[in-house]
Amino acid sequence: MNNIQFFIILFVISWLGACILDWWIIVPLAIILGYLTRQSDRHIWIPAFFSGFLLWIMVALFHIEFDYDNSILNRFSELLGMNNALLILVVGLIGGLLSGFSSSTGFYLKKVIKS
Amino acid sequence: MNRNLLLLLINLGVTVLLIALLSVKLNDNTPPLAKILNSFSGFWANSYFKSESDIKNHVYSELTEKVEVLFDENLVPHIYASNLEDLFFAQGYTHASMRLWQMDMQARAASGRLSEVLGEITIETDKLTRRQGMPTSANQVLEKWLEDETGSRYLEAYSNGVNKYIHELKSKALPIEYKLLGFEPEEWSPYKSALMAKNMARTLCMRDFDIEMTNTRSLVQDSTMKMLFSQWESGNAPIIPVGTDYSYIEQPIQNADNTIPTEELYDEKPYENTPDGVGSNNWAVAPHLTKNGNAILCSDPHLGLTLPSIWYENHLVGEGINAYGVSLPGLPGVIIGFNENIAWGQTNVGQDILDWYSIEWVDEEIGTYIVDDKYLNTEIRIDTYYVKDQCVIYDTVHTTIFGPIVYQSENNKGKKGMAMSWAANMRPRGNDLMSMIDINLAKDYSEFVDALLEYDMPPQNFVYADIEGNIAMHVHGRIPLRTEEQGFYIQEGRSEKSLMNTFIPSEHNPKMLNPERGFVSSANQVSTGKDYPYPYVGQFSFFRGVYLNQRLENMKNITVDDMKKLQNDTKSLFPSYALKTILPILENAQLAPEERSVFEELRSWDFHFDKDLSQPVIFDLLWDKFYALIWDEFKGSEGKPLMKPTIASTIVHMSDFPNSRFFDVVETPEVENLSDLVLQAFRETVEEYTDKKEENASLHWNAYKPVNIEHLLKLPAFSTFDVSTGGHKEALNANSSPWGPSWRMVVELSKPIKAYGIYPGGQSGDPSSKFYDNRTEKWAAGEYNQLNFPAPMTDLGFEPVQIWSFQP
Repeated sequence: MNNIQFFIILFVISWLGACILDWWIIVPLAIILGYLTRQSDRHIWIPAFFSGFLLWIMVALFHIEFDYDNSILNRFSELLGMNNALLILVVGLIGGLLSGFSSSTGFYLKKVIKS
Repeated sequence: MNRNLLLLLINLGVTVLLIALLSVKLNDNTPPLAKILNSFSGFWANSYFKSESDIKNHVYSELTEKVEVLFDENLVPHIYASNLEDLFFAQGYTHASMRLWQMDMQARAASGRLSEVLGEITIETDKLTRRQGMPTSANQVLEKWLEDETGSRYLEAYSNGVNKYIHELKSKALPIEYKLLGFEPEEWSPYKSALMAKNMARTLCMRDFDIEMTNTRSLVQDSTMKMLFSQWESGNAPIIPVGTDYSYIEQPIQNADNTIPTEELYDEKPYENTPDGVGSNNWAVAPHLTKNGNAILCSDPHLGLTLPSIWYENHLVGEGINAYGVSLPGLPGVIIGFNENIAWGQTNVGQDILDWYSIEWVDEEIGTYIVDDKYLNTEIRIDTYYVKDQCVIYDTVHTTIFGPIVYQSENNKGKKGMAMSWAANMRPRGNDLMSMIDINLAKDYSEFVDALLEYDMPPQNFVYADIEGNIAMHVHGRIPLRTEEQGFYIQEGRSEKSLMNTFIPSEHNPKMLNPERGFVSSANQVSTGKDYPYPYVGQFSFFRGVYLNQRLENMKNITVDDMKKLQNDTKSLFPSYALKTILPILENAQLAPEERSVFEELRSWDFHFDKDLSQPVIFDLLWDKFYALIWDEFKGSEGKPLMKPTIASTIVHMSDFPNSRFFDVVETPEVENLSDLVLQAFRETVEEYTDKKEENASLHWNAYKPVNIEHLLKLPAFSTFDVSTGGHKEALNANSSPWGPSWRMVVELSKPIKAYGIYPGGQSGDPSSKFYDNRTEKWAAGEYNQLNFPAPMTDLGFEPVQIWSFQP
């Protein structure tokens, strides 16, 4: 599994999982996928981060139907004292960081167990 | 240490830390960030799952026939059902789909259960609610409702409709407030509908000035008391005018009560009255006064302007029913509206239906008191509070024969129990629910009156008009029969004779049908002249009623547009009367050039509280200062509040008693007169006004008194601020933020009926919906929606924006 494949698989299973259950499912899924990946010594943090980052932004935008002037988005930006773009970026970062560190956790777990 | 193990621990640590940061509440008022921000089930999902974008095609076993709900362009549901049970099931479902959180919270508020979800900040509010007896009396209301077999079925069907929606609701689609506060909707029940009725009763008629009046009476002579606090101010315009034929009251019942007003001084209540500003207008004009020869009915209740809006507009069509109007989410039926034959509206009756009794305890231990030389023990109830994030709290409540002890007052004679006797807490005399539903169904005046006789609480002025051209006004509800001044003051709770237990029979309530003058009207003023055979006491408005009658008396060829303009009229008689005395004094005074120019500005005013005028600002400043100076004697001290005369009494005092001792400012050694007060108030006004103008050169009424419509949680992001509109609580357009015209309705009783209406906010309670506050701008501008009132479903006259179809 190369980085691109890892990125795509994590993206798809996180998406399906979180749609059926909820956001937290992406953590165990990323750990498992990180554990299962065969990459010998390369870092998977980066593809995992981008997978989560893009997924969270994409789902968020999908939910507001790509309407950047959406009233709930405006209201929450105001509530949190941000602008809309920053809020979208923050949500992407949360998704990215969760995916990145969870995948790495799974990845190093395997290394520790195998050694 | 192994490098891989180290990296594992670091990654695991960061992951755990992230999850913890996202899942833990950083403080009491914020929800876990992940819950609210994540893109799958956070606020983003609310935008996607908002109820009005749903197409519903459902099968519900509760139904007996097919039900169709067609939403028009204003998101008003037109519910077509074959029978009333199916209809109310669908109404419950519709209410829940757009206002679930609001209903849930209001039921919690009325049952003293807010702190279960909001935590310790609402414990005192909850305790007060339960001590006032709201949840207990809601039970009595429900019992009364359930006595009627038909009504029980309707109520059950409504409740089932609400619960059907709750069960279908996906957690991702939970209204945003649930996500923010971190709780889930609770099942609805007929009891909760009864709580909603109690909530409205509390808003409308849980107001009293007994403590203030009691304390004031100890300061001044009885004759002064009568002069300053008379209910029948000269020049008033009673709802049912003097000279009305009361021959239908053949034998007025007698009152054997005997009031014992206390002589002691009392501390302030540990909570506030509902603020001044709750009021309403309604009127109807006879066909001979209108251009098209049809009666026209107008109604605009002034209530708290909030988001979600207090009202929900709907059209209910079923067997024998075709009613359109506003409903209160949580209650079946239409509260203010019209059907194919009649229209009706309500304003609040100012009668005082809440009395306080001071209970003297026999010993240190609370619980034993003496009534008519007999020792009595209180009934004891222990209330349990499951406070969020806290341990369980208990509260012991004592109930006397006069009512529950709401709080203890420490006064110069020791600890007294304050027992509240509230007519709305007593076992209901009639079934309000069936009364409202029967009004929805009524085809003519006699059916309307029959339905109304069942109506109990809170007392309302019901305006009526029909397509036959009849107009009527009924001051209706359960109104205590008073002896002179009973209920003005705190009474000693030591004789059964002072119990509030005699009520005017409902068929003796004041009313009139088709008066010669061609109109009926009410604006919370005094109900009748003194020729009504029963005495009563209360707090009544003055200026709106007088102005409304003056306007209606001088109108001919009335059109719907005239009526819309009248509802939005910002002119008030309050400044016009007050300035009659004030302006001549200023005219003759030595004014500095700067003062002279403010004076000229004020003099040029036409008494309209329009949003872009500066004169209302000057007047408001001037009046507040003057009022404080003239009634400085009634400032009160050490938490012992006093009553101040009303605006109308103050103006009468200015013109009729120019040498009154109250014009003297007690604090100063000089003896001031009326002119001194006016001049002092005016000079201070000019100073403050000039300062304010320096900050804001275009200072106008709307900027000075902004109109805000706040979300129930007071979240700025969910609220609308600085709405561009005028008004004053003493004007027909009674905007006095946060209170104001909560539903303006004009109905022309033509065949078919033509109707217009608007309320601030919107049909959806969901802040992500475009229907959340889409009506506010139109409402502020005094514009109306033309209401779609299609008779058969085959000829709608509008393009549904959304269709729900429910099959049995």
